[in-house]
Amino acid sequence: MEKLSKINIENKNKNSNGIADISFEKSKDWLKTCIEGILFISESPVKLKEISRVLEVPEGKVSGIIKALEKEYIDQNRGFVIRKVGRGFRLYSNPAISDILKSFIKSNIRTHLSQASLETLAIVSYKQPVTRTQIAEIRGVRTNSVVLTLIDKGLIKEAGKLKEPGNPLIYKTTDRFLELLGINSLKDLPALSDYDER
Amino acid sequence: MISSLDECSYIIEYEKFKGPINLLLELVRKKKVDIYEIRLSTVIKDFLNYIKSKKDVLLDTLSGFLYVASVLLEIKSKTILPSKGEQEGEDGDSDLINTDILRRREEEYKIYKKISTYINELYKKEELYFIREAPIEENFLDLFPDFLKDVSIESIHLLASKFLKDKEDEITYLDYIYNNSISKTIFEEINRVKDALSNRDFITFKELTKDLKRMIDKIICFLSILELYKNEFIDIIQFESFGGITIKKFNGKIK
Repeated sequence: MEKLSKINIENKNKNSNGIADISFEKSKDWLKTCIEGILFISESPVKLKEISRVLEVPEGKVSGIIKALEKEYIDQNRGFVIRKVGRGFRLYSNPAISDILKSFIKSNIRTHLSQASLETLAIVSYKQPVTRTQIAEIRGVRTNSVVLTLIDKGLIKEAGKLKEPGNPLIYKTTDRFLELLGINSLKDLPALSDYDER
Repeated sequence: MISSLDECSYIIEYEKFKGPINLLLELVRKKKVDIYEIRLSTVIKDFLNYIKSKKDVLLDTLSGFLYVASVLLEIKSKTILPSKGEQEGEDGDSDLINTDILRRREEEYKIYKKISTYINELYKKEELYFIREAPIEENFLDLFPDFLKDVSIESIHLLASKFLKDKEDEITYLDYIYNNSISKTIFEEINRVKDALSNRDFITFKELTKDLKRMIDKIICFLSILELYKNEFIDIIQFESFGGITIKKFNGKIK
């Protein structure tokens, strides 16, 4: 198996370059192979910085190769796609075949989010860092248990204390929150003014 | 008006507020207490229980409470349902109700409600994407210590019966700290370890601690060994996780 893949790589090298002895290592194709492999084995979004550090190539180059891979997968209707979520890159299955894949998924740990949780998340994501009182002011009801549930689910976290009397705890959203929404940063959420009808 | 309220001697005890109800009204009027925070239904229910339990409630207490409670109710209902336009109440309480703030709050909430719908859409859309289910690869599994090493049904049984039997000796953490004066310092222990190594090259941790009964003394001994290791007096040998520890003189001699 190992031999086979090596032969394939060598052949590919010969074919694309026409010269047999050129070193495959550090070539663009080699970097592409590496990045694909890294994305394949990683259990969480991989940051550009990490890939660039390990492969010793500038982040711009890594980013370019990832974009090329991303396009390649879409153009070839591959079973997986690359997405930039939670400040990193990650392989996901192609959403077009989710119905088929469902029967192969062993554990789907996505849980339902209650209306209270969703509202609280909405407030935290736009107003962070935010205190519980500030959340309660907008929602008009106390939110302590909702906040605790969201912390348990890893969607928000404590981000220190406010420097005012009482030193209330302040909260902000986590990278996991971005991951679960499939967005890369809070900037990907629509502007608050888009929702203002006044 | 206030003088008649003074007769109202009933004290409200509520997590947000404690005191007579007329004080609550004064604080609400002066905007020191947010009427939003006060659950009036609880206050009233408590008062009803209070008059049920007491037979000789003064009429003034009753009427005073009734009056203030109704004023508070009116204020609260106005704050919850702000009517647009004129806000002039008969007794001048309208200045309490800043409709602008309320309207802004309500609209802010509406915005976040819409956003929460959007967040839910994103969250639902994510259900179409799956990530690879990746357990730890086998060649990395070896890096984990075997937490179940030497554990058998018999050993668990022995441990459990020991714990159940020793229940009366149970120590609480604080008691343990306060009742156990620390008998020696790490420096003293370092000297003891050095002495033990003066005429030999190796010693095991087990040997070093065989006369130490209390856990705290064993911990001090362990810390002293770490300190000696840090200062390159000794080398520490341990062949496997949770295995026995052998202490070896560094370069065969102690500096």
